[in-house]
Amino acid sequence: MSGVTTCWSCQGPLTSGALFCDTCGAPSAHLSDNPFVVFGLSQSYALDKQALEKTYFALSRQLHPDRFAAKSPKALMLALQHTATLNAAYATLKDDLNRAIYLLRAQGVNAFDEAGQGSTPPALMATSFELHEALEDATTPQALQSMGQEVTTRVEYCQKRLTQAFAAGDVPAATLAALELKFLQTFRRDWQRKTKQMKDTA
Amino acid sequence: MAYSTKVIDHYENPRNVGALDKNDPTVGTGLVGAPACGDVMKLQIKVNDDGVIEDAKFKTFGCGSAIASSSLATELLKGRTLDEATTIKNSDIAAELALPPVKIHCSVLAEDAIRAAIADYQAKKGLKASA
Repeated sequence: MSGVTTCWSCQGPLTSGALFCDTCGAPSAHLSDNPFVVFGLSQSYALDKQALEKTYFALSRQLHPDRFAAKSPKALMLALQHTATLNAAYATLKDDLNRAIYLLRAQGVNAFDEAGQGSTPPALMATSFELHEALEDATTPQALQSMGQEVTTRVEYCQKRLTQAFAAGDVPAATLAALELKFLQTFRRDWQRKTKQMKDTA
Repeated sequence: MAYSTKVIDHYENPRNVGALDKNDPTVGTGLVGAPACGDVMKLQIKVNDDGVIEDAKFKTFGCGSAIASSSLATELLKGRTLDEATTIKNSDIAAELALPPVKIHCSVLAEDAIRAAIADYQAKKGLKASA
């Protein structure tokens, strides 16, 4: 992360991982696809989201195509590419689950990929399936509302476990909490859809 | 991206939706999920004395491709022996439904469900060495 290369534009020294050349302001030719590197952060789950947003806005302004339109076509093209990379990095970091999955993948966990699909714990599948069936059977706004509260409680509990597991460096526990959170998010999407349908037809 | 007509057909007219008694010793149940999308799938088989799958049911909470994959899986399973059933591959399902690359994991999920159902049946019958 601390290596030094050469700027393609002014041939001056360039810190690897930096978005811009300190000397001439040109966007660097290569940008890491590691979102933590893009934001100049250490690779950890704990994160200051307000600071993250501030950095995101600052970098977005610095990379704005208008600033490079009058410069070389290469600088403009790189600025556009880096903007796309920055947006993707921000989406990964600001979302607790996406950030957790990124960190777990970096540790070699494949539970979120096709290859690891079969290893999802049966108990988690059973709970998830039961939730979906209960949602299907729910016919009153009251029933839906209490399900919504239950899911919120479960989500908060998962988030707490996720934070604790990462703080303790417990990869299996973090993987389990992240898996549960993923299935809860999908369930909540279905729950929102049904809640909306019921409101619309009421 | 548009779904193929076969996916739409299975999605709109799913075959064999429902449940078999999971406590029946001749019924094997597979319950699997896709962490990539959060879909869950339950697939059950009922096996007769000759080792032939005489009935199959599924219930899937997920996208159209996941529903179509499990629906097709139950159709493929019926009338096959357990040995024949183990040869069903996700690629067969994906090809039949013309699934796009981003939906291949749905057919993988269906294959996982078939294997899980067969394993559950075998465990009930004591056919497999206990782990």
